[in-house]
Amino acid sequence: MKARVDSLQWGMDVLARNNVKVLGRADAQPILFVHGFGCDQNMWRFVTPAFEPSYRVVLLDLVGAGKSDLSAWSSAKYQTLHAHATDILEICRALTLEDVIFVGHSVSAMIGVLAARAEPDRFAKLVLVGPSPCYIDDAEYVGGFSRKDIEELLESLDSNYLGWSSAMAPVIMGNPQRPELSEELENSFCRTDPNIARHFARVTFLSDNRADLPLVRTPTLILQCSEDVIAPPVVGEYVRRSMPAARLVMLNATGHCPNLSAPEETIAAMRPFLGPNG
Amino acid sequence: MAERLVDGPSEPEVPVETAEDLYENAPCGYMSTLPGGLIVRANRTFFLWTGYQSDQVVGRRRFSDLLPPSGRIYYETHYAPLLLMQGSVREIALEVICTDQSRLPVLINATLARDAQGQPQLIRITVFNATARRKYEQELLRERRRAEQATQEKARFIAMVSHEIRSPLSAIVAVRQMLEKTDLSPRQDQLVRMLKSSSESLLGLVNNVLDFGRFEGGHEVLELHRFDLQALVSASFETMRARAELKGIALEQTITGEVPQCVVGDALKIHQVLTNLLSNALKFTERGVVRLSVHCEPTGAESVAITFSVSDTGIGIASDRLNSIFEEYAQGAEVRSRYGGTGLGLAISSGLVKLHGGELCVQSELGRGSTFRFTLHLKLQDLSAEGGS
Repeated sequence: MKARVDSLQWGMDVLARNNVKVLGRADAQPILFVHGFGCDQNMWRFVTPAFEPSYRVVLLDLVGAGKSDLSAWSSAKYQTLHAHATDILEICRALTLEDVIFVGHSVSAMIGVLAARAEPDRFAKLVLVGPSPCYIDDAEYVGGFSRKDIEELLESLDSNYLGWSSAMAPVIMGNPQRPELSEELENSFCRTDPNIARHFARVTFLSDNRADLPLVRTPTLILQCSEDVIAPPVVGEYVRRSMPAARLVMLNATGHCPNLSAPEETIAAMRPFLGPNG
Repeated sequence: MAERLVDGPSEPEVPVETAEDLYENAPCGYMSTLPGGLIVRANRTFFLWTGYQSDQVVGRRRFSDLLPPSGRIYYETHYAPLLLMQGSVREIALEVICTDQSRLPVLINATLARDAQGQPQLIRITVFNATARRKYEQELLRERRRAEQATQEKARFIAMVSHEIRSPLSAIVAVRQMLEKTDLSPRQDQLVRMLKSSSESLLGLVNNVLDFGRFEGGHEVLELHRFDLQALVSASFETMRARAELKGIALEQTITGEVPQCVVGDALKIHQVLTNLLSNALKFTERGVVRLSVHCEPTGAESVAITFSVSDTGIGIASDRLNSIFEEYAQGAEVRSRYGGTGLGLAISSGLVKLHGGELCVQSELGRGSTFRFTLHLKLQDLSAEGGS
């Protein structure tokens, strides 16, 4: 609770904190795109242009990702997905967003569920791309992974974060003594701080939000890829069954990022759900 | 050989090697997949390393099928999206599951080939055997973890010892306070005053160590409530007045701008920062003035920017040390032996200010004095009841 109020109370600019970008029509219904683990708002680049003519498009980086304010991150504050949901709500308040369409990829699908649960009246619709409320198998529930798999993932992140991977901006990012290194990495997407990414991986893949799903009555569209190892179809089906007002569209796209691998199909699947403006 | 030299230059003998030979037997694995990951071609080196036969994987398996579950997550969340956005990825660390179920540590480079219309067509992948390197990495990671753990354990130990010291110390302070209220001879009074100064300085030191430990552990949080700004500033000022008088230093206070009656914040922590800065200023000033200035500037109907500054006419700080004074234990050995203290005060103050979303800054000139300044953006109303979650 204390952690929740600090940024709000202390007037820190939540828009700068989350590197919020607002595009499209200022007077139109807002559509908020939130990226998943491992990436930043760049992952929506093939999708958002389609919505700019008829929506107020809002993009952001979760705190700890992309160009968010890393000084706003603390392991204590962001130890659950709720803190990110609270950030989303603060951004909505700061921009006075009402009647919001929330589009969340992967872990941000659950962040959207938590935000809509906290403030149901603020959200008109949810689009959940590759959602999973729980990644770890649990009795009858199939999440797709064991706890050991997740521990191994955290280990492999360490190897990738040691600095040999250009996918990861290594620890040198933001090193004031070596500005040339930051410069060199300026153009790479999805930069991340290794410690934060490892922490976020833990928070993401050990989260369990199954109990939240039935409590969200917001009309919801689930976009399910046909071969998604992270959020397999059985998980998408579980989400659909558990949410009172959800429908599911099975995409031909494979993998976990249809917004990148099949943007046209993703857009086409969203339009009928969004209604006449779409 | 000699004859050739005599005969003049001639073409060196180049063994015949086709591009196919190079592809198949290069000292790295080559693989091509469709954009969805289905393997459509791989070279002999890759098959040799992993034990697969061509017909087991080509046209049958996706690249991610050859990875353990953890690798698949990394593949889907990092490799695949980056490849689609950047057109290439470099040095992704993965493990390929071989036919004998052993795992081959690899580094992957990949590029995305697009057709004339710009549609992704093919992914070209080079696979480097990183067995030795991964062992080295694991060793590095183990060492790093061990070092981090040792530091944490030390910090915990220091915190525990400080806690243990604080309890008897509090008792000493309490007993001394009781002693003060009894009839004392001048000699006893002098001894009690010595006891007071030593016990208070030791208590301050122990509290600093504990505060710093809380920061290190990320356990420090703000406790927000409405408070009277003027009263807080005056209280901080009054706490230091006796010390200033004792040293013969003028202590001044100004508060300017549109001063709100109440603001929302962690008054105790702001008080701690102000008294720490004032205490430092008094410590390092032999003559002249220590000044606490507060300026308020409304930043909207609901918030105010408050700039606090503490300036002195003391010894100042050399320019080459200015960058490091907010780091823990940054206090120089010479300063410590002459003035005392743990060297944690500024690190703690800086941390407390940061917790409020501000930044503690310093301007200083050696021999002329220093000014410490920070600005806090505070709300006028308590909104903590709003917003749920």
